[in-house]
Amino acid sequence: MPFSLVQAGTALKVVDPGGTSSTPTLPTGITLVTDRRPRMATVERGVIVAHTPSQNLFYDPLLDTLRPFVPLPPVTGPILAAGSGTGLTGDYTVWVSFLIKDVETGALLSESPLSPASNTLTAADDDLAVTGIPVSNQSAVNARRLYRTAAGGEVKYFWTDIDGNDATTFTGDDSDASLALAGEAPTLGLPPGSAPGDTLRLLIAWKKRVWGASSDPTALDDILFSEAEPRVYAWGATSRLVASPRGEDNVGVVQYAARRDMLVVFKRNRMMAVSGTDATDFRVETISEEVGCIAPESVVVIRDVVYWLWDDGVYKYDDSGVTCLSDGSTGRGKVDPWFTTDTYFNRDRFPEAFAGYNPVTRCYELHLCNVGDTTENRWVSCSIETNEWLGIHKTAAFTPVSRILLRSNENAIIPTLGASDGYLYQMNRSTKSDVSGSTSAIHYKVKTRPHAGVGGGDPDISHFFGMLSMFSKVETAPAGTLTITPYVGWLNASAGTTLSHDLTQGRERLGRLGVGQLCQLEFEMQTAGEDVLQFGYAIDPIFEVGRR
Amino acid sequence: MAGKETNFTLGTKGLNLVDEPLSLQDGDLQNAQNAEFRRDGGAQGIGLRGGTSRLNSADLGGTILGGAGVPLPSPLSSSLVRAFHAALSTGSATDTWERSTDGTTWAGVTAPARAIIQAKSPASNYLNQRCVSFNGNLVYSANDYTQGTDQPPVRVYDGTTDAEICTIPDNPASSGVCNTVLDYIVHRQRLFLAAYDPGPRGRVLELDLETGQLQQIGNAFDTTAGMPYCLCSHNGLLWVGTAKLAGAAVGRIYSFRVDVDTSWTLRVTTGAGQGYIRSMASFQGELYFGTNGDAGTDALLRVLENDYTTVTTSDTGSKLNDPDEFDALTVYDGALYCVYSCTGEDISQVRKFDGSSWTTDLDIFAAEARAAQVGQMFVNVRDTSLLVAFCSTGDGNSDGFIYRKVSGSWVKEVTGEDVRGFLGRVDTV
Repeated sequence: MPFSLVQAGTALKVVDPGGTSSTPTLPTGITLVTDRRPRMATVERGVIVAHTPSQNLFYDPLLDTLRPFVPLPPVTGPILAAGSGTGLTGDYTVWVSFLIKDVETGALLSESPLSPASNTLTAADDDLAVTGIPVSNQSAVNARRLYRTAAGGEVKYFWTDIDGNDATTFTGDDSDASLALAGEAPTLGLPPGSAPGDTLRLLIAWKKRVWGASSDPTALDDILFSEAEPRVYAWGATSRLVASPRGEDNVGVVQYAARRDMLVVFKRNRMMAVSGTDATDFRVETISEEVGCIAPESVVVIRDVVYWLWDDGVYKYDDSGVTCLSDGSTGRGKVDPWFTTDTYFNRDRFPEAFAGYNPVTRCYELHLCNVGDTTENRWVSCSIETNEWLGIHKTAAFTPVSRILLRSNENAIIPTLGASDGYLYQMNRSTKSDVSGSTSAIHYKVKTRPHAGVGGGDPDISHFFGMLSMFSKVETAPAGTLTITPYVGWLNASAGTTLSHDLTQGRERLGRLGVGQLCQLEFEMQTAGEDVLQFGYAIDPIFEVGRR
Repeated sequence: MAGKETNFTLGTKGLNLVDEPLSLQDGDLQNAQNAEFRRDGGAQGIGLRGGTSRLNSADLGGTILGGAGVPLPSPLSSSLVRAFHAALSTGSATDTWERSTDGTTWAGVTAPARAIIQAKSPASNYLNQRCVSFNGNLVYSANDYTQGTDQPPVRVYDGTTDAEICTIPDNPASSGVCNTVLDYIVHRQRLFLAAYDPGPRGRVLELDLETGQLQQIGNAFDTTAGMPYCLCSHNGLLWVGTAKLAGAAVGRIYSFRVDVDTSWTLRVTTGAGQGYIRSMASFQGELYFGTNGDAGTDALLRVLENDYTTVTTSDTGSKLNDPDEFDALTVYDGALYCVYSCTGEDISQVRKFDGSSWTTDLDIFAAEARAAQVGQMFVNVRDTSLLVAFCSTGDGNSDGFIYRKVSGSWVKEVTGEDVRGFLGRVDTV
């Protein structure tokens, strides 16, 4: 059975599909902040958590434990001297790293960068006595690893492990020839966020590596990446690309999006892509010199297509290129005023927008802040198939703060909202209410186009709009009532006398609508637990009264 | 002109906030609050969006700032089951193992098949670890063979299916078939076993669980080296302790760098009379090993320091006149545990070393009125408990028991069973 890892306040929570939760213990000295969003990436065996912990964490579900993602390296090197035995001749140097091993299998889970080098010992048929082997102050460290050179060499070879975090001495005489079989020291390095001071503000898994971005002001434009699995804890100093030009703004890389054969890199006003298969051929290419991303949490990949929010609307990027989905350029999606006027949303809060995919409605759903408000308390939805937009949606039951794709017992995706009240709210529920501590009705409101007569009609002519017939899905009694408000007159017509459609009737003929140039209908229902599905309507008869 | 206006494409074009109202089409909407377009078995139309409901019954303690769905087994899942299995001997005609998912409630089960019984051990008090947990499977020495005639089988149980994975091939240097497997270990994510051949001789073999193939590690052990009795992973090396060397009551400890060395390196030879290497454990960066003492010498619990030469004594057995032994060395909760037994003198203790001194943590003889031996102790890392299966006095005698230590206290969980003295774990999802 899968689970979800969420940050609630200053704690991480493990939540199963049934809602049962547990709180894994944070390692000593590590805390979580609440003024930014956690970044998580699922890798082999567990989840990396960054950006909000004071030190990057790794959650291991097998052991249900949190540990530092990468241990901090030794601050001092060991001391090397000639031992009382024999065997080696030449100049030798030793280094130490800290290890986190699986206590049950001995598997290496994480390794710190190397310590400073030891002194160089000139051995004369001696064995090597190592003292002062550093001990970590992180309790997760349960072994140390020694590397050493061959006589007179510079290459660091694996020499031995020292189990535990206690012993400070070791003596050995392993031949140089055997070291070559043991292997050279691998690339090691700390990612940002391994110690207080900077954070790993972006995190994503792609091509068997973990990619990130630092909060370091001098490295905002750097695209960082780890070694390949299983060594995703190793972030070499040269394992980086640049989202050029450096320093063009104070934001740098805004977000990543993983497509099958490219890693899309967003800046505020620029898009790039990383392609390639490994560190020897990774390259950065420009996709757009103009379109960028304003909201890192708005980036969602659906069926290998990237969706996101920029300054003036929602965009997608697929094999055809970059397309705006909200300006009507596709023939649909004519919701441009949402993003280009101050009528609907608080555009100052666009950087805080967040989004997710709803697999039931097959929509990209974007959460925004209502005009005049300060939280992302509204959302809109765009069909990924037809580019239809619907909205503006809202709920009276809670304030959405985040969007998470939970998984059911069968590993099906369940879009879920994280709320300010500490609860997770599953979407797409068959019960048509928003249920928090109490049950809130969902306020349904749909407004049609204005009708100017039969077959397009003539808005210059006054018409008699006759009886309205409603067609809807038959609901089981007791059912809700759909309220119809007619607006008959010109475009500024006042609301007319409302009509009521009994939703247990699949077809119902209602009263006359009135006389005027235009007739527009508004459908509304707000009854907890009751559903409505409209197939259409008819107005009959309609005839011209005259030009008035 | 009179007529009728119908609109059965309501909402099919979604919202249109751009075009002037008089040019809007039937499928356009000017508002679609909390609406969704549904395509449901031919019923297509615009309707109310889905509801929302709370997943968790209690507040998680703060604003939900973000998270991720993780398609890995959940630690909260009742379907992720860790089942502990303690082998039973013939005292139970049908049950082959005692099984528990929490270490406290145990029940007899008939699967997997019966593990090797005491009679097939090198001697009655050679109980060692005859099973291991590897990749969630229980790998164990099975009993369904005729010792001395058949090659001993190794079986694997995944919680559902129990199957023979291989049999131990003959040692070309031995005069007959392999007797049994004496120990298993998971070292650097690979599975190794210690095979006991007539001589006594032995070999250390690597078992590939996917293919069932066995690969000998380093040289075989001849009668001078003894039979490999216990395995240990220490400082990244594979270690073996031997027993029953020809001509002397001494034991040896060898080390091996897997994928680097071609032969075992002798590190320790115990003093005369201080017997065989009974158990080993890596603790605080040093290798601790327990021996058995013949009559006239004490068993010792010793430490091989990190120069792999200096050996010091950490604890000494107290019964000079009877054979005694230090078995089942295990690191648990930051301390080192072992079982010290002297059956002839009615001593059986679980002893604990905190890094400074040894104390008796559980006096088995005082609790059970008999000395009981242990082949292996098992640490449950998930709830930080220690499980100890104390062996019955022989095959067919249902006087064994299982103790559990958690939160500093020992509790007897099973009594009156023909316990063999070793445990393993099976993980199922």
